[in-house]
Amino acid sequence: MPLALLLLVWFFPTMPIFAAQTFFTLDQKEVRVGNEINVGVFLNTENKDINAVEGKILFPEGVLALKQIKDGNSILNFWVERPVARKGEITFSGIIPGGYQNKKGLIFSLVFVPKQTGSLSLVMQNMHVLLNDGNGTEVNTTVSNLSFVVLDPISEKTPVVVENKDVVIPEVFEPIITSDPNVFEGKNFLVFTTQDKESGMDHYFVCEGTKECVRAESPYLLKDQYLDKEITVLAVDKNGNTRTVSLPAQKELLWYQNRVFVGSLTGISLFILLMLLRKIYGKG
Amino acid sequence: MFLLRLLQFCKVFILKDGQQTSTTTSDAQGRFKVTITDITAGNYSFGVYAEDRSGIKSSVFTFPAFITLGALTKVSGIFITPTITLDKTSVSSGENLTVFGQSLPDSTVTISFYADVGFFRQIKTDAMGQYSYTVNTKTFASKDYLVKAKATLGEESSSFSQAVLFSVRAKGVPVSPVPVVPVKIIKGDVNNDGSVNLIDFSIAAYWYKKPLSKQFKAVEQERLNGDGKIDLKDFSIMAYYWTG
Repeated sequence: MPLALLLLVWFFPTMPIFAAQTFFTLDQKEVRVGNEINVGVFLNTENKDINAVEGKILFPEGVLALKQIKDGNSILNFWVERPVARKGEITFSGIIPGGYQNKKGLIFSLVFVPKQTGSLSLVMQNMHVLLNDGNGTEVNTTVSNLSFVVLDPISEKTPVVVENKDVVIPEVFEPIITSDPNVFEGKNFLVFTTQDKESGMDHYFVCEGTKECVRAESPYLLKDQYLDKEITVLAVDKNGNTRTVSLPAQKELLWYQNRVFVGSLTGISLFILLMLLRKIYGKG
Repeated sequence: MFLLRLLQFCKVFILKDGQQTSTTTSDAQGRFKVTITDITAGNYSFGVYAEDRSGIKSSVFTFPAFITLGALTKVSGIFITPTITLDKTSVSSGENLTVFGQSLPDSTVTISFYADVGFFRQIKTDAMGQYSYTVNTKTFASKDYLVKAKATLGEESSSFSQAVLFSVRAKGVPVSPVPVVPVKIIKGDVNNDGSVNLIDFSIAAYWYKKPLSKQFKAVEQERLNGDGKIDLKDFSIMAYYWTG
């Protein structure tokens, strides 16, 4: 029996498990010190229907300066963790409602400027890809890291730089005021999100009435819990293009809350009182 | 522009990158047309689903599309899954269970029952696109079952709908009372408003990588994967049941 089993293992090796794959692409054929390079981070779902991806990209920040992370055209519609660089690491996490299948889905792209010559590598770590099956089942994922050589700059030539200025503002969106007993102790909060197909979203501001606008993330706890002021949300992309959306006050001010009305009423009352007093004491 | 086939005289919802952008109503042949303007060039994920006359939602059909500046992008040939619901979520062995919903008129609906093994039944929809199938559970073992449906009309076929769950219990074991309204899928709907959308995502994001309160642990147990924390698996479950 043991011999038969051994033969079975030898002649019938394990069938390859079809796995999802994450990989890099490099736009430039030659990489030189001081010249920008574009690195794409992609997903191949290998014919599986997936709806969630997370992971980490490591890069040598001492020799490779990260200029920009472009997530505007990402296949991930909602970021649980938007890709942000911290000390040579870019962590990200996001979902695709309804699922996604493709050989080359862009997660985000990175713009670097090499600072010195030599061999450099970009590494993917802790990559997790989940199936669109309602259970969060993880699929086997293979990663392909990127290695390339940085050459000396060509000093006799001035590089021709063609810059396509992004003037497109973020997509239309609709902030929602809501409340839930499990969030912010049941107080009113604001949820919002939008996309920018060019450079990607950068940040948001929320302005409540005449108060100073504050940089905010969704969900955002509203300072004004009476909901009697207009709320404005500014969505700003990575090139500073801004879309502004406003929600009207949800409730009318009560008469005694309206400062203009109360102030006017007080002023008129004082004027009438003054006139009466003048009349009374003026006669005497 | 979308030209699709789904349910007859139903409310249709279009999602753009996971958020509702348009609604309309399908005609007698289950067709509808929607044009989305004011959209920049780039990669998008579009989704379409229908709500039938009973208020039951179909699965979301999603597809990627690259929109080119100044061009009309036409999407056609998509067949939405049937809606599906049950008259009970729990039955005693030997009791009847009815599966019903809506698809295109005079189409063939294949209903799949699955536990450890599965079996299929096929029925035709009526002139209004509605179907109903009653099964006696006397031969069903006492366990949980999943049931889903797909529709076929001529050469065209939808994919399977999301699955709904029911339990068969041995005789004498108390079962849940018969619901007054049709059973609705509630996974992912953490605020219990009947939709799975940005609000649910934001509520889950609030608790991401934080210890859960006692109250929200109960929500996570019922509506997400029940492991006592919010992580990517919970968001994946939400993404599957997304309605926008």
